[in-house]
Amino acid sequence: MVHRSLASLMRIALATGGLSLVLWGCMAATSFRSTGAGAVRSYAPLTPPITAVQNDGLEIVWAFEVGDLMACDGGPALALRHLQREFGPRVRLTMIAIGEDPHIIQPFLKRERLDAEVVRLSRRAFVRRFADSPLPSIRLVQRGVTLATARDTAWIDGVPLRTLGIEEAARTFLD
Amino acid sequence: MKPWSRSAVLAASMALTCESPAPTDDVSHTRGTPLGEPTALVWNGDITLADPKAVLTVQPHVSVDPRGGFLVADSREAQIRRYGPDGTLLSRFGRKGSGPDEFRRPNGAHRLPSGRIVVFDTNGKLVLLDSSGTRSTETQQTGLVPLYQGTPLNDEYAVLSGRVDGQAVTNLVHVWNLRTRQLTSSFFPSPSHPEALSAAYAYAGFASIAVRKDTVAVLFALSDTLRLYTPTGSLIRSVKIPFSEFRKLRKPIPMSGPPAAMQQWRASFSVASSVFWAENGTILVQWYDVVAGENEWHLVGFDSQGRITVPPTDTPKLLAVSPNNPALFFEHRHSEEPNAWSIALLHR
Repeated sequence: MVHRSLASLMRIALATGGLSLVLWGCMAATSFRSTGAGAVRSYAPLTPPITAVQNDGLEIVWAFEVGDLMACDGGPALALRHLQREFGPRVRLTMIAIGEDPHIIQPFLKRERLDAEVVRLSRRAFVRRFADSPLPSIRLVQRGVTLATARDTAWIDGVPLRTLGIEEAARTFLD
Repeated sequence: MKPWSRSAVLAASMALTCESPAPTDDVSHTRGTPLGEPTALVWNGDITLADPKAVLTVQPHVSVDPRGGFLVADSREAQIRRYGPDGTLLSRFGRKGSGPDEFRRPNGAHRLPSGRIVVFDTNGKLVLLDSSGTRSTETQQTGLVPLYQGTPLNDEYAVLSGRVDGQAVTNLVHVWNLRTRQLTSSFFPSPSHPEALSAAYAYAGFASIAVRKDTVAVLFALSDTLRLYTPTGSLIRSVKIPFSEFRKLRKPIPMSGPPAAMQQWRASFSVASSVFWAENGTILVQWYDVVAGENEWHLVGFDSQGRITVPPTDTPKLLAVSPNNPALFFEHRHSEEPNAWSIALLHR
């Protein structure tokens, strides 16, 4: 169950329904951490890619609760949009949606002009697969290996240190 | 497509309430199409904004540039762009962020009579650009968060719609002095509503504004009444909007529950999203219903007495209305690309 305060409702209002509003936080400030050489994890795509990512390409895996997407001010969409536009098929976006989707995700993708493969998982299935991943999270994957993960310490209210944005982090592996 | 009931529209248009005996003289003077007579919306071509490599149109808020072409505030890209009449990109400015020359979510760019361009950001920031739209000359903080919309009255004043310090209970319309950087008047609180709907009104209750000469038209998202004010906040009159069908908000917002509950609630009422003033004095009100997560847009035109001029119709989203000619700019009728627009003319 999603519990809402008036403040959080106001934020949701800013993000939904074409109300032309805005909200704060919500993955706006995201820091990436390299997994480091000793923490390399393998990662198998959840689905066969529609268009195979080139060898030097990058898969960006964005996992989130569907309900939280309603309260999201586009989240990392701007950075992802820029990466897709600049690098084309070298960037593949996979969105892992946890929970039921009452017509939220596709309008979101359309609104944000994102080309993504959406995978729906139950929370249980997600935990089984990504045991240590908080939600929302973004990971950068190349050749099946997770290179970096972003953990949103700013869900809604926090103001975290920004060390490396999604766009900059991805570029370090694409340039 | 929703069927349009002419009788229902005409019945609705009969309702007109006058709360002030002092209307301004300009709201009833028009040129072009006589008011109160049916006016057709005639599609008249398309326009495509240039999207060179460094630019992507995502969520454009558009105003017609009095110097020709368009000013676009792209709220998703946090960028201000100037286009020629044929869609050629002339300049761009800004990026996402909270620093100088950065925007959170700009929702409007308008040219002042002096030639400078004023940009309104949802975080309450107001930025003045030079006439070319490539350099900021001044930044002001209005204290309105969110700042829903802004439109200039003249070089000195702008009318703003927003909430003071994000408060749930607040006046929603304000006049901002661009020189002294102060609010000079605030008016239009949320219309009265049942206590049980207070959270819903705070969530979904925003105001849209349009200015014509010295009259400010104020549209509240959840109301079927348009109000006309003087810039000092004196109510001129209230006009019942001749919607074909406007589903009023009647259910409290679900404070807990799955996303589906929120979506169902969002789909349970209509939203009066924006008001425009056409060149001939026609007031255009756009409203939408949420269907399967998408907005279905509708449009109606009427005069300041509430008489229909443009019958209610389903249209794409209306982006901008020219103040100088009968042109209306919509999202494209057949394309979903946000940089492709359809043009319509108001014809008798």
